[in-house]
Amino acid sequence: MAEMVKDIAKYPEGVEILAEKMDLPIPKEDMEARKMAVLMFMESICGL
Amino acid sequence: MTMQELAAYRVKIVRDAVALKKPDRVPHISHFVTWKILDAGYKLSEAMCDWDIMEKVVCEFQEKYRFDALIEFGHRNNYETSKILGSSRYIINDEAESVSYLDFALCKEGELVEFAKNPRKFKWEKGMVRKYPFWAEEFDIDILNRAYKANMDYLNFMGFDLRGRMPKKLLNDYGVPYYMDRKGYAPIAIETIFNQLRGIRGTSIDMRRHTDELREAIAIMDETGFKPGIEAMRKAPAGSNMDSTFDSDQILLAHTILNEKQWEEFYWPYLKQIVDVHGEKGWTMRLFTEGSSKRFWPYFRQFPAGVVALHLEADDVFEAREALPNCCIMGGMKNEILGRGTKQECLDLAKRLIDELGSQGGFILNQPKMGSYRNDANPENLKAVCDFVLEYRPSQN
Repeated sequence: MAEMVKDIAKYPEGVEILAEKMDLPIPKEDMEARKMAVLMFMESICGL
Repeated sequence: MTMQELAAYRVKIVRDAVALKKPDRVPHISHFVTWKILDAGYKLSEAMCDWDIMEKVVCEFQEKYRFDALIEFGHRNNYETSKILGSSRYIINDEAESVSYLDFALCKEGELVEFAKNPRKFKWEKGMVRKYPFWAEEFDIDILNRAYKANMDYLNFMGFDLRGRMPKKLLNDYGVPYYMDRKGYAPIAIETIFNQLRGIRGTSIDMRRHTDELREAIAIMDETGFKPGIEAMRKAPAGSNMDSTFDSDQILLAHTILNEKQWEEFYWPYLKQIVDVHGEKGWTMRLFTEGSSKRFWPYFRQFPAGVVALHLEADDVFEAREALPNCCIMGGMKNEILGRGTKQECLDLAKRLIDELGSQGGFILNQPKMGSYRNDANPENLKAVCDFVLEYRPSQN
């Protein structure tokens, strides 16, 4: 877990990890769309 | 009149007023935010964490006051998402009936250029952990999943294009048109720096001590943000969407710390381009200036006529009318009078505003401040003003 946390905090590695692990309403096969959803989410919460 | 017809009528009177044409009557637009929650009898923390309650709040507000459009329809604060992520930026105090929003700087001194070169990397590796300590300390995927769902609930309520669940309900049940159908977005770098990256204090420091770095960062941000944004606007089709009251909404805040020389370098060239594109395309804009903008009115005088509704938070609307015949003036119905004046004082002010500023077009009655606190309006005063505006026609008097 500690290793995973370290990698999540890196860009762009963390995007890939979260795109795989998060519960997103996008099929697992469409990794590009999942990565984009993660990035948009991050942009959104960074502005909160 | 059907709800669709009522919405079309409301769009027309707002657009006529902005175009400096005489509307059938002066439009009345709401600038109330969390005041709505208190007026409906809920605690701030209840409504701000539950979109079903927020929907009831907004519906009750519109049933009671019958505004022509709502700048804020319950969507201003994405509080639940922020709370799940452990942010301490929002402070809700139900006892004091207040919401505080703390100034936050994503970048530290000397980091602006690094941010500008790769904003996503910076936000991911530095911004997230500064804002949400769990990101590096006790990462929990469940927190992110819950926050993602809360953010989606928020976006569904508001709508990605401001046409979500709440705006649709306002349109279908109350004949309230969509507030805005944005035609494009060209971010002004100094506003982004002020609002998100360096905060009030940091931007002031950068203006004095790190001007070269500030210029370097802005030059990069112009290439990646403003220039592509303004080009996209130039290529967009001309003409307004008559389903909505405005074609864009621009909020000026960073001007409050700029002197005239800084304004001429960091703000005016960008704002002028945006407004000029609106003029070329036949679009309209609400331009809300927080604090005072009076010292920049000679620049606003250069705006093309009939494009901008200048919403003034702290300046005198009568003076603005004299100084800026090219702009529709928005505001005037002071919260201090609505909150602490008598009903007659409120009606007298509303009548004077309509008679002197609105009889020939170019005026939208509105509250200068975002109604947040209980004292920002006495409900009886507000109801009296709202009823008066719907009936009053200055030409008949």
